[in-house]
Amino acid sequence: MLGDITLGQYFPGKSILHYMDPRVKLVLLFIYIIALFVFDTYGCYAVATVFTVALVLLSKIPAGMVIRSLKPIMWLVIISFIMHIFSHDGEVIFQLGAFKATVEGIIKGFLISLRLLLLIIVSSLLMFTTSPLLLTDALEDLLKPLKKIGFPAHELAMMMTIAMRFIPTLLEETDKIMKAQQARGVDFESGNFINRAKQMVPILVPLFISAFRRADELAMAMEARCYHGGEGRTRMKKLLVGKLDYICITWFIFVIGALAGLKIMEI
Amino acid sequence: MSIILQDVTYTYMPGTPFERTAIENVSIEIPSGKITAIAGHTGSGKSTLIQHLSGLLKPSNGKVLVDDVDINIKNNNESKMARRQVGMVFQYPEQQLFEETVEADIAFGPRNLGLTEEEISVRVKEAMEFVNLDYDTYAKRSPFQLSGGQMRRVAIAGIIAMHPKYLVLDEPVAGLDPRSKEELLKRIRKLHEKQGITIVFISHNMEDIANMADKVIIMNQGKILLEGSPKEVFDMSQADDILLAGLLPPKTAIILDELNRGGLKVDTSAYTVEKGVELIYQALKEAGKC
Ligand SMILES: Nc1ncnc2c1ncn2[C@@H]1O[C@H](COP(=O)(O)OP(=O)(O)OP(=O)(O)O)[C@@H](O)[C@H]1O
Ligand SMILES: [Mg+2]
Repeated sequence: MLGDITLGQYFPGKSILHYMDPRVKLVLLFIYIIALFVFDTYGCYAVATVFTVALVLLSKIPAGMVIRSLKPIMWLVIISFIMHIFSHDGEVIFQLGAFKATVEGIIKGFLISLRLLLLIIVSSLLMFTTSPLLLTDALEDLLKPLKKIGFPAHELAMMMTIAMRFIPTLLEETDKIMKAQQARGVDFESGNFINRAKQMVPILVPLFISAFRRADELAMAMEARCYHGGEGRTRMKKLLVGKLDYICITWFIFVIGALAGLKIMEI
Repeated sequence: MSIILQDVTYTYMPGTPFERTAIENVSIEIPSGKITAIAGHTGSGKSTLIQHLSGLLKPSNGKVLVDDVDINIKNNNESKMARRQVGMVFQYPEQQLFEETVEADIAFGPRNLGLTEEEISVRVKEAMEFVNLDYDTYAKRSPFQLSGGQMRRVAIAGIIAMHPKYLVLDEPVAGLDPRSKEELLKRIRKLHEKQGITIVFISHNMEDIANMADKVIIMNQGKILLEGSPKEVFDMSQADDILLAGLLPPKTAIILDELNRGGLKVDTSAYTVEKGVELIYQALKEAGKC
């Protein structure tokens, strides 16, 4: 049943990508995504593809996991590919009614799909190699400057942390409740849509009750430990940008430089 | 007639870094018409094991037979009927209540079995009586207005009303006060005696096990460590094994053993308090001390 859902996407490991500072990873990812859109010559695509594949190998995440993370957007990619085939002028290959498939369309469609795939792969690499807690810490840190204009960076990060902390717990809870109701004769695996929807009630009611109870208990426990918001709070584990990060940043600048060079030379 | 596990292995989340084999090559028999108790350290795989008895977990490897029928065959009616023979009460079952009234909640299971309304109401009344909840007082109340112990009884009644042939309970008395605990165990035993239901229960309390069980299974790290009648399992010559599994033998057995070592010639075969008292009294009498 729910046992197959992994806890978030984080895949613990010991690779360079795992050890990098999460803030550095976030910023570099952001720049890389922009670069994927700006630098769009054939040469750029080739370099970006090689770089992305190299990142996957470097992360030591099983290729199967990475490919599985592409599944949810596969339809989007396929549809956009088909749309592009038919929406560019040029040498006509075949015709379906009023729609003309062109060579240019196929090439364009391929490149756009490739860009989309690369985008998703690097983003999921970030999720795979960074624990959710580190990720929110990084986000809070990066958003800190916005506090001056009243942006609730700490509160937002705390909310995300709590949400992520409780997703596995809630999944576990759902699994338990589902099993318990199955033991009372509920059949989740068959029946039509309405029947299935009805069967959600015996799951949702206990789930909500327990979620509210947990929220209540957590709030109490936080207060009991003197939580009073982000003001003056210090960290036990400080995020540190170290030697490894500088090396990675240097490499990254090389790659971006190469992409920019190819774009300028229009290769 | 019994539930048989053949070489059952179960792995949680296979193929991920969180992979964990909770039970490994477990083969046991749950004899029909008896009370079987399962004990073991936290994380030893007890809950995982019993969820196999009613097909809620499908073994990664191995087979589960209820009355000689494999219960994990897909889309097989016989297999489904065999699964229904086994009623399962989870740890903290009060957390699964969801209906507006106690009556409706208990009726949920029987209704899923497709019984008629009359039959359902008969079963609800009977189940409430069994767990000692007065029908007139509680039937129309919301289950969420009850105390924890009462909620638990409602949850158990919900399973009993389905008339299972085998009743499996995961730590039924966890978190109850001593009196409610005694009361609930007494009810379970009564259910067994009156209706001949086969009981399987998990407990950390060796006294409870000694008092109730016909058969004891001790688990350690996903494997069966000891299995047999209480007399065999609580034999003090095996005490080291039990200690190894992170458990203590029943206090009576320990006391008798200590007395014997201290020089009083006493029969050490008892593990319940009543029997223990009797034996000690006898030994003292023989020794001429009273
Ligand atoms: N849903 C799950 N996902 C992953 N691992 C699990 C899951 N449930 C249990 N485990 C693991 O399987 C092992 C056995 O767990 P199980 O719940 O069967 O233990 P138990 O003997 O019932 O313990 P307790 O006395 O604490 O209830 C544990 O190490 C646990 O970490
Ligand atoms: Mg358990």
